[in-house]
Amino acid sequence: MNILGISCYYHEAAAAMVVDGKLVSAQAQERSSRVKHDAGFPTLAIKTSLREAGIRASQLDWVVFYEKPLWKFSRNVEISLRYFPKSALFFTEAMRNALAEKLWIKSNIVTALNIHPDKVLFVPQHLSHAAASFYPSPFQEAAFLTLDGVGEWTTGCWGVGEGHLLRPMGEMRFPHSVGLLYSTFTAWLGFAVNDGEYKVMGMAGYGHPRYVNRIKKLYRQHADGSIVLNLEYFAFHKSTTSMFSRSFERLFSGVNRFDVAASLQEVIEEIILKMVDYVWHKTGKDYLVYAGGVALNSVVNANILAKSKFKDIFIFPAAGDDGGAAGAALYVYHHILGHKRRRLLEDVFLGSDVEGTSWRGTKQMGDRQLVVWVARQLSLGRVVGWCEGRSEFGPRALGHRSILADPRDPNMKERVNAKIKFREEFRPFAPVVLAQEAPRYFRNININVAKFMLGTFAATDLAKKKAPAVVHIDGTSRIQIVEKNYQGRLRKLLQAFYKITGVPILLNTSFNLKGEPIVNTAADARRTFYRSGLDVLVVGNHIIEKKYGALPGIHESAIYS
Amino acid sequence: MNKLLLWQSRSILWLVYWLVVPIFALMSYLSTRRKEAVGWRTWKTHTDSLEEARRQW
Repeated sequence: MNILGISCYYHEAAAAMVVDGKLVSAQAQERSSRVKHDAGFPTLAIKTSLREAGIRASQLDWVVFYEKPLWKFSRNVEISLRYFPKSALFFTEAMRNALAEKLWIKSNIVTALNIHPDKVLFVPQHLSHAAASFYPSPFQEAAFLTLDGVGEWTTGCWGVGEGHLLRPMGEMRFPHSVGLLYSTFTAWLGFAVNDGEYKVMGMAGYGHPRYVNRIKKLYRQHADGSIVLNLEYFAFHKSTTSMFSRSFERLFSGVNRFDVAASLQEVIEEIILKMVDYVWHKTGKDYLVYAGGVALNSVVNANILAKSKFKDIFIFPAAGDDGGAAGAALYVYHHILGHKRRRLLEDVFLGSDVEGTSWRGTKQMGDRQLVVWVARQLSLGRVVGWCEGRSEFGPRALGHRSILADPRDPNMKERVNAKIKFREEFRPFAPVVLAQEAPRYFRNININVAKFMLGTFAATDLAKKKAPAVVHIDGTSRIQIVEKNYQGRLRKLLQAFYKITGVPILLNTSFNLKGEPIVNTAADARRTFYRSGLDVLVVGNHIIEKKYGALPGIHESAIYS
Repeated sequence: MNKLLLWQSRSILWLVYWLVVPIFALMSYLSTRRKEAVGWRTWKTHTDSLEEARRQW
């Protein structure tokens, strides 16, 4: 049975193919369109997902959209009415968007794929999120918690997953939202909403949580963990241009922004831990699956692991709207059609493939020789763009579209930030580490979380000494562990680097420049390589070197003319 | 003719304005009187069958 899941028109548009219950391909639209957070109808992502799955549109049994469009429409109308006349512009904008395309999603799908309208299904957004985390998880029974900005009406949802069934039990509704509380601060700190949230998380390490009480004026939390925002301080529910009100600006005027980020992180942790505690009490389950955009906050995830009563947790690596495409398809296959669960998620290498790239005039090596050569280059301080196999689904680069560097050099972080990624100096870099060596360098590692780089773990003194470039200022690292069954050559590369340097760790960051999506194809990688200060590019078995160091801003044609 | 058209369109705009604004204001007033949902609410909108999944609401 072939089911295509689609998400679009809000954050990351994406498509995912589920064949006989297995997630076989998935990609965000931005990777192909090269527009960061592209939310448009995911024509290119659908093409990639079908191609990688070896399926034609005519062979699709069902196509599932990850939310109920008319619920969302009803929310926009009702909220506009509730805050009329201040919401007049919001209403105009919402109606324009809805009437222009959002309400016609069914006909858009039917036209794009040339399928019968009865094959198009709709699953509530938070059930799509919950399904994306529960069905690929290793747990037969688990509680679930989903938190994001807003779905149709729902901003948070909890319930139980048992076998092939998902049973939602409680929901929190717009405008009261943990995700929107965080995004409001993201906007106030000067970053783009739905993009800069991870920058706020990075800033938090540099501040002191001295404004916790001030932030607590913005909301009230009930004993069951649910929150009610004090709307006097917010504007997202009635404005198209601002997330926060003048009262909010007055409350936080003249404060240290790093301290605000640190305080926000502490408050968010407190809110979510209380919710998790409530879900544990109500469900009585040992395991938690956690989903939605808020589940990408790796510091909170680590705290859930450390402080909650759940024995273990699982988070789908594409926890945001992109993962909703996969969740919607899985929900229909299991919950609605009643198929039993069979397969766990082993990896998220579900996108476009660069194997088979054939470049003339570049150096080529066999696998064994290549990893030793690259490890040597890394040990000499050169920074490598590393592309192999299929691209990752979700925001994390897990070794198939990564920039790799030597973590032993304390200046490597500044070098990669300033000359290669062109991004803010306060943003940390993550380590990728051999699984069997990881406990010597990082404490209390959880495999489910660390396998997909979804949590931060305390670095040991050894890590601080041997790999200073990948330890954040707060003494933690958002690690990725590489196990024996890892698909690709990254494990061999780590082993070779370990043999040369005695350190089984590499600095691993996504292969993209600031403001751009992660590279997808070999051509994207090559273009990005020449526009950055990268020293070496590896795509499959091809190698390109820059002999003259960093050349930011220089186009490929200028070099090869 | 042009004056007539102008007069007609102004009249329509005037009517629409004075019909729409009070309706919005009334509905707005009624929606604010409705008790706002706070805390965890019981999930009621189930999507358990193909029939329910075909619906866009």
